[in-house]
Formats: sequence, structure tokens, C-alpha cells
Amino acid sequence: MGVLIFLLKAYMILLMFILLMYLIRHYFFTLNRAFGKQRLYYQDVLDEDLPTVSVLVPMHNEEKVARYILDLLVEADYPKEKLEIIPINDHSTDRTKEILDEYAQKYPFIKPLHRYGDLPRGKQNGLNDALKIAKGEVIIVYDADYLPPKGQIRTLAVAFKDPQVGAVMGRVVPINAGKNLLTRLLDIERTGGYQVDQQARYNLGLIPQYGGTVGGFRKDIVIKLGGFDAKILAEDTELTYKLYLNGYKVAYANIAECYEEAPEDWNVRARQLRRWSRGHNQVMFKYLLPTLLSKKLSFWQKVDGLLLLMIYLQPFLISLGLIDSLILFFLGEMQIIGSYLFLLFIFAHNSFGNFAPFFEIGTALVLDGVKERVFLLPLMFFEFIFNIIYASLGFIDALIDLITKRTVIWQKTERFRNA
Amino acid sequence: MPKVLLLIIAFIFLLLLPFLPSILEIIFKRDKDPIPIDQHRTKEPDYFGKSFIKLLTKAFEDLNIQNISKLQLAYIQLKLKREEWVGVLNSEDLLETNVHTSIIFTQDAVFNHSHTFRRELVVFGNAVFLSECVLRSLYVKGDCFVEAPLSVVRWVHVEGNLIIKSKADLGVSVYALEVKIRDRTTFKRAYAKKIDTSDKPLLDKNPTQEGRTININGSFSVKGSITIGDKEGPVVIDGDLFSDGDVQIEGNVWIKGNVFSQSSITLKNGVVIGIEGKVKSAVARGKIFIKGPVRIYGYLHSEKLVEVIP
Repeated sequence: MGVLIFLLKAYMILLMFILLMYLIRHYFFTLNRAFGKQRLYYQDVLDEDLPTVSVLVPMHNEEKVARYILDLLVEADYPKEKLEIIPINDHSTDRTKEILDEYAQKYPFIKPLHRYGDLPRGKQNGLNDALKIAKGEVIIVYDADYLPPKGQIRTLAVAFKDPQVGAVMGRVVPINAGKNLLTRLLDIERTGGYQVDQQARYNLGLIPQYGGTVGGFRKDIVIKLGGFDAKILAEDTELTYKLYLNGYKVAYANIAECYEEAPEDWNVRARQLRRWSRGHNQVMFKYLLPTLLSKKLSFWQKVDGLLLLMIYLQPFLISLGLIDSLILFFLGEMQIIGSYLFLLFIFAHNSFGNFAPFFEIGTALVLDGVKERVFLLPLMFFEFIFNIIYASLGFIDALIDLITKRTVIWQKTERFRNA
Repeated sequence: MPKVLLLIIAFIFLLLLPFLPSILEIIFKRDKDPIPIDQHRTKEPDYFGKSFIKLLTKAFEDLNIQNISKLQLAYIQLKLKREEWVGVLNSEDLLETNVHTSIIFTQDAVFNHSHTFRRELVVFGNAVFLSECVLRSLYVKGDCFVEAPLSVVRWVHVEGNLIIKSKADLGVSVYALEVKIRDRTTFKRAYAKKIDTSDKPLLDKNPTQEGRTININGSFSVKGSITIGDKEGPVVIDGDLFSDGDVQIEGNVWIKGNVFSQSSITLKNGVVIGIEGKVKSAVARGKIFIKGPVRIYGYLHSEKLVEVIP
């Protein structure tokens, strides 16, 4: 019994240490974004010699949204002789195929890739197949529900003039922000994630994340590094780590803002979050050790890289911590460390620690000039609980994947746009 | 019983109190629209001048005025961003020192006296500044000669050549066919087919200079600061240069691609950036300092200031 109590208490201390690391990270990023030196993106580089670009748009039953994105991509100001658009029709059973063929007939630079039959489903598999036929030096990816502005392909592609840049990431903005409580909360969460988190990482030379959409990468590097792992659902996070471990970097373009459609239904969001967590944790299992041992990463890049890898493990650890504290409470063993200093730490954490992510989001909202949204921050508490549950389930899925080596199946996020 | 009820109500009230602002925002939806994104945004170095002239042309069309050069001296009310009075002059002298309305010269304009233009100045011919002037913004259809100190707050758009022979502060954005800078000039960004500080032939026009030429092919990215310039011979870089630190380039150096710095850029005494007929850029988060004979084909952009001392 004594050993068990010791282990339970040791876990609480470990959890506190991990949470403290995330707390410091939140504050550091927020203060850097608000008051620090802002790193310049490449949007002001005007150059006539732009790279050739293939825009890939993975699609599975996207009849509700396909026309919107294709119309906008046709309008893009990127030189057409340097541009091709490859919508990847991944086993669609609705009218997606007909829509794509109709556009392909009208515009010679739209070259759909239809995937049916025995070909395995999933974004990562579709991207791997598209890479085999893509002619562009640079690949830019948009999810089918995105609405890219006219000049965005140029904004993203110009970053690849810098030979160090392996991938580029733009900013995601929900277009249906005002639809309901969920979309409003997702909107402010995204604002914090991009306006502060990603930009601060870019400012500090850490690890901004390639997010798999509104972003791009160099085709030759990705092919050289073996393409996307078919067993990993978070192909974007995997690519981020692959690039950094091979000496490349990800550029973050806060100015490359693009509308997306956020889930409007809690069940859809739960499935999306669980998939993200599963994929991200798969990447964590694969890249935790290589990140730690890498000779290409600086000390702080390793710290940031490890914290980013563990971001979807954290909710599971918090869940265990809650259970742990309950057990300790009923065992009457709540005195973990008999020190006033520790008590002070607990008070400080309760005051400032729990406030850290809210501080980050609040700062992002102020930077975006949408100050009324700050009033929604207290409701993030409920989303936080929701995230803990579904991110933890995603971690368990990833753990089972690791043990059983089972085949992963891509779960598409349902669309809500009215045709 | 009422006491218990009161306590329950007080408890619920205090429990919901932190969420009250959120609940009010959910009900009244004061800030529910998505963050605005300009779906038509593209990178246009002539954005300011082009947008203004588009507004002006539209305003004239609305008044059924097709030929601006035939307009008589008048003040007319035009709908630009908002309704405003605009003065139209031919080749007459402008007598006022302080001009509070936008002014349009339908033909060539020579500024012999000092003026302060609080609104836009438009010249549908050539413009010559022979006396010190302060402008908000300047549009010139032909060539523009600056032969006396000139200070611009916002933008300069010259469809022809811009020749600067006196001290000038050109504001935020400069656009011209060619820019010749022959006295101390500052601005934040400038776009032209060619921006130069001297007529002297530099490395791009005179490649067979004495000494051994160092040729570097390909683009490179450096983490710290970099200094380029070889006193023994010219340096030609066929690619782009990206740096996290200061970039100092001096002497017979020709960079055929872009120069990008997260800090400052210094270009001195013989440096050429870009290739004739193509647009390339020198972009810095900090200051860009140009001294002596230097030539840039394309675009200069600094988040702080571009200072040119020929």
C-alpha cells in the first residue's frame, strides 16, 4: 500500500511539473506575441521567378463544398502556366466526381485524381498518390471546405525562395464563427492557436506546425523523405517533425488567412478531435525519441518540439491526475509534500496557471480587434472539459494502434454548408 | 423556507456570475461575424495610386466627364471615398500656400512656390518641383522631377520616371517606371523597373572588370549576419540571399536574386540587386541603408525606413 501511495503522489508531482512547463510556455508565447520582436514573413518579396505549384485538394463526398473552392482557385492570381490544381477524389459516392470532371473539362489546369477500387482511403494515402503525378516544385494543400483568397497561393509559394523552408503554414479562420456556441468557441480557440501560438513559435525560431491545409511543402523533399506514413492520421504533424529532424524549417504566414468551416455539431467535433488526438499521439510515439536525440535541433527547439508532441497526451495525463487525486483524497493522503512552498505553488498555479491559456486567447482576440469575444472566455472551461474527454480517447486509440498495429481508417469531418 | 430559497437563488446567482458576460454575448451576439478576410487581396506595389486613380476616374465618369485635359479651371464636388471638393487647374499658378482640397492639374505643372497640400495632388502631365513642398500623396501621369526639398506623407505614384535631385522624404510607398535618386531620399518601400543612385556603369552593365570574379550559383540562407564584398575582385551570386541577421553588401557585388533580412540591409558602392527586365526584391525587417552607386531592379521594402545617400 505504501508503494502505491508513493507512486500516486509521485505522479501528482510529475503532473504538476508537466503542467508548469505548459504554463510557462503559454505565458512566454503570449508575452512574446504581444511585446516581442515579430519575425517577418516573406509576403513582401516580389519575384517574377516563382516556383511551379500543384494545389492538392483532398475530397471525400464533398459535393456541398467542391464548387466553392474550385471557383476560388480558378480565380487565383498565380501565373496559370505555373499552376495545376489536383482535386483528389477519394472514393466519393456522391456527385463529387461529376463536379470535378465538369471543372476539368472547362479548365485544363484542373486535373482531378479519382481514387476508387482497392486503393486505401484516407488523406495521407490520397496525398501520396497525388505526389506521384504532381508536376509542381511546391505542393499547396487545401481541405475542400476552405475558401482561399485570390493572392494566397503566391503568398504561400514565395516562402520557398528561402532554401531553408521545407513547409509553410497559413492561418485558419472559421467562416461560420457566429453559427452557434460551439463554432464561437472554436473560433476563439483557433484565434489563440494561430495569432499567438504559431506566430510566437515562428518569432522565437521554435517549431511552428504545418497544419495540413492552407499550407504547402517542397515536393522533392517530401518524396525523398518517403512521403506520408499511411498508418499515421496526422500527416501534417508528422511532416513538421520529419522536416525539422532533417534540417528544414516551417515558415508561418499569419497574413495568409483562409476561411474554413468549423464543425457545428458537438458529435462531429468530438470525432474530429478524437481523430486529431489519435494522429498526433501516433506521431508522438514515432518521433519522441528522434526529437530528443536529434543533432539538427537546438535545445529550445527540442523543448518546444517535445511539448508540442505531448500536447494531446496532456489531457490524458490530466484525466489520470483527477482520478489520482480522488484516490489520494479517499485514502486520506492529500498531503503530498509537507512544504509551504509547494502550497504557495498550488495557489499560484490556481491563480495564474489555469488562467494561462485564457490569457493567450484573450491576447489573440485583442490583436485581432475582436474585443467583445473576450467575454466568451469563461465558457472555454466547458470546452476544456470536452477536449479532455475526447483527446484522452484519441490517445487511447493511438496506444491501441501502437500495440496492435491495426489499420487506421480516416474519418471525414462532416460539412454543414448549404449547397 | 424563504431563507433557504433565498440562499439557493444566491448560490445559483453567484455560480453563474462569472459566466454572465458570456451569456450576454451569446444572447446579444455583438461580435459574431467572422474575422474579416479580404478575398480579393493580392500583392500590388502600385495599390495606393491605382486605387485612387480608379476612384477619381469613376467620379469623373459619374459626372459624364470623359476628357479631363479639357476641363476648365473650377472647383467641383466629386464622390471619392466620400463627397469632397476638388480643385481643377490647367497650367495656372497655384497661389495658395496651404491647400486643403485635392488638386488636379490637367496638364504639366511646375511648382515655383512652396505649398502644403493637405489632400492628394494629381498631375495629368509632367510635374516639376522647384520649390519646397509638403504633400499628402502624389500622382503624376508623366515624369516627375524633384529639384527642391519634397516631403510626402503617404504615397507617390509616377507613371513615368521619377528623378530626385534634392532631399526628399517620399512617405510610405513609391511607385514609378524608373527612379533616379541623386540626393538624400527616404521612404519605406519603392517599386520600379530600375532604382539607381548613379549613372555610372555597375557590374551588371560592365561585367569585365579587373580582378578575379567569384561566381556563386544557387540560393543560400544564413542564420546570423553576413558581409559580402571582395576587394580583390567582383562577386556574382546567381540566386537569393536570406539572412536572420544584418546583411552588408559592399563593392562590386551583383546578386541576381532577392535579398531578405530579418534585421537590416546595407548596400554600398557598386552593388546591383536583380536583373534588368525582371522584378527582384530587397526586403528587411529593419532599416535598409543605401550609399554610393547602387542599382536595384524591382522592389525595396523596409518595415522601418529605406535611407538612400547617393
